[in-house]
Amino acid sequence: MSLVYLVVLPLLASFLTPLFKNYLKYISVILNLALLYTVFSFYGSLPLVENIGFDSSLSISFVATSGSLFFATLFIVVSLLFSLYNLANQNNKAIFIVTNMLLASVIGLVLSGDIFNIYIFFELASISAYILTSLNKDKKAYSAAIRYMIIGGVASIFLLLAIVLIYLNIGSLRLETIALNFNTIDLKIQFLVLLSLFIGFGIKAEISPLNFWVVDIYSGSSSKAAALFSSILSKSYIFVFFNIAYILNIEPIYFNFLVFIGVLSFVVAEISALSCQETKRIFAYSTLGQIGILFLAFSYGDIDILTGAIFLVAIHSISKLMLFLSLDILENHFGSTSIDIFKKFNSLFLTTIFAIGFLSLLGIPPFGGFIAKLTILKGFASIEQYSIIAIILIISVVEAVYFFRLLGYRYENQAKEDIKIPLVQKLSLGFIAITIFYLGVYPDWLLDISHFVASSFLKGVANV
Amino acid sequence: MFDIFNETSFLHTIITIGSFIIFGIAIVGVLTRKNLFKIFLSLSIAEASLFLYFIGNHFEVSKIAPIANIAGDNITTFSSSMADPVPQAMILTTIVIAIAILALGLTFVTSYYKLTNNIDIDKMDELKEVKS
Amino acid sequence: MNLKKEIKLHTIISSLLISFMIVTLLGILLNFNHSSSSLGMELLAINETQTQSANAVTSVVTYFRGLDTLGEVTILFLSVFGISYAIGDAKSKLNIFKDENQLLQIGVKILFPIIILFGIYIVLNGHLSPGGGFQGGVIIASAFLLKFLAYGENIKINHKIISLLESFSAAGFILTGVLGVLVMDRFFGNFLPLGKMGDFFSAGIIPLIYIFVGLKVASEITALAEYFIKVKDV
Repeated sequence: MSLVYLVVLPLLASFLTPLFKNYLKYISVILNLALLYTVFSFYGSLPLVENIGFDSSLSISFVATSGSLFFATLFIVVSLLFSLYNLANQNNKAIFIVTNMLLASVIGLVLSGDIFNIYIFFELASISAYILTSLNKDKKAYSAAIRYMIIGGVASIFLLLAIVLIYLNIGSLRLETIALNFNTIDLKIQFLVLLSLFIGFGIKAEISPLNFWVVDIYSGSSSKAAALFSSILSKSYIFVFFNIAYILNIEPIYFNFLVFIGVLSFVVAEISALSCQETKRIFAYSTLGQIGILFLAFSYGDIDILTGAIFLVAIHSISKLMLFLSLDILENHFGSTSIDIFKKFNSLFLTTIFAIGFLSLLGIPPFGGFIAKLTILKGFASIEQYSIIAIILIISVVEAVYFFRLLGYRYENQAKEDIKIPLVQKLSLGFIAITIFYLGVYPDWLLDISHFVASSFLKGVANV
Repeated sequence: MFDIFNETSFLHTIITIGSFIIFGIAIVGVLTRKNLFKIFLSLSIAEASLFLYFIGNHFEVSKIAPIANIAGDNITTFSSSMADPVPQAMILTTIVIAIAILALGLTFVTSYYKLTNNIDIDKMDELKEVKS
Repeated sequence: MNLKKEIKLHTIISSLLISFMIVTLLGILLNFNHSSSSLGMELLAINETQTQSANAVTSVVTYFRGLDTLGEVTILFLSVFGISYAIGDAKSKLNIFKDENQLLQIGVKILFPIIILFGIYIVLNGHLSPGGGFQGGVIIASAFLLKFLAYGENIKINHKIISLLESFSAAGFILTGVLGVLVMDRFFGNFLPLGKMGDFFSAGIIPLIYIFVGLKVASEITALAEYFIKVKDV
């Protein structure tokens, strides 16, 4: 049982698409179940380093720490729920190929221990995202895809510059070797490498001030694409960013700068959401805000805050998946996603789903988001950073304003249309909602797992 | 007078200066040009300048290609007088990735042009929010 | 003719900022020492015993860093898939080259098999001399491009064969790696006999991987060329 199966099985399925053209949606469910079984089989033997090709310290390695396996499991679970949701639609070759490639590349991003390999998976994830943006084939989709490609091209150039400088100065591509020798190179070149890595990964991880492009892309692509971007893609780049930051053991002054960036992202994103008239933009700003909180929490390096952050990653991924897929149902019915559609549909199921999603994102009990925010705020209180607690609570009020406005539209008296939702979509969305509620009431098992993952993160290069 | 061209450090200096001048020109191109084709072309030039910098700085005057010649006139075996094969392999891979992404980008530009007859990035305003 | 172009303020400010940054960058980068021992030198030292391949760059691309090549081949596949999805059916479009050039047509009849043979030679000899799957695949694709230029609308490519070739070669590449796991407990483990350096049948799985890569690159670049040439709507 090799770690590479997790990356290679989705690729193989995408390549062999012509063989089973009529069964694509079933194959994707079976594939995701097989991947889930494979990833569970590695849980007992952590941390695991697998050398690829030949057994030596010169080869490419896949490193499975509890952090990387947690994120890999999360991505597979999200992909499984997405493929279950898609059982109600027709066999779509483009969605099958692109989602499998996206899944393979993000699993490769979190598992790989070699920086050029990370670059390859970075490009593979980017190109899957470009194609996913352009799936609708209309003007808005192409416009969004072209902008995404230009910004993504700049990000990949800076990442390539960082890799070039690392290889010229250190002579190795393996993350552990780079970490051991990083402090022996000239300080100014260290700064250059870190700046290039920050720009390269920061553009893709969607932090301020580099995230001016994100909201337009979300509004130009379809809701299904936005679901995958916000639940899988952004989390993987955050993981790689902080994995490399902790492994390279960068100075605390850089972490203070990242804290400032996190606060800036959170504040700017939530305030910008107030004036939006389109639901996908509101959800996109909400995602950017949560990414700001995650950046803030990961940069502090304190075990309790990090536990809450990892819990928030899991809750936020499945909540955003649920919200965007529900929006997809509305988009297929009404053809647009402006906030007026919230006044026009009549479905108790969808209202409940939206209510659960919004309340969880706001951090209101008894849902999972409350536990996440509570753990993070308790962690900040224990290290006496009261100003950050104040900022988070004040901006949460802003979040409440725009979410409750959307919910309030449900009670306006207007002519409403009934919406038929297929049973399998009801089951998958309902399962996510029940999980969010369950995690709000019995969170301890996930909190313990998050604590274990957080402690492995903080150990950095001592893992291997 | 031209003997200085046989020294490795002088060649490295020229290559570094030249490739970063090209990199600067390309980044200015990405930031200021309006035509979509010119923006993609500038991205491609920026990547080419990085390839030049990387490979150029691994060049040393006395080294030979990392290919062993068993039979024939010059018998060469693997030794440290051969050039480094890893940057060559990395740049091979990166060139293929760059052309794949460039091809996809140009396809999107042509499809977009067929739908809207517009190739100016400032006039791409389909995604602007319609404030009701 | 008015030769003076209007230079906007925006352009001037960006140019000044970027030139300032580049000068600072050069100041940092021009005086540092390269590291003397690097990954490549150590791989060169173990190349002869581990792979028996005469071309070190080939063994680095396919064996020592085979997973990067797998990712690259996947990126090429995905890019051509995205292009075919965006452009749509190529059967309903016209070739943009309309010249019927007699000289070119007769020349292509002679050159086409020679170029294909040359491409196949380069693919198969990747482990003995400079060359390999990528280089040879592009040469084979250029032969097909020559045919597009010469024959105009009269040449069609069977897309079913191209997609079958792509799938088969990519699946073969991955299955080689999986066989490595099953036989030697490492992905891309070298399970075929290594032979003697310089022989045609040597270096284990390296020629096999390059054959798959060559087939894949040739079929994909041919399909790419066809999509870009047949763009005129009927």
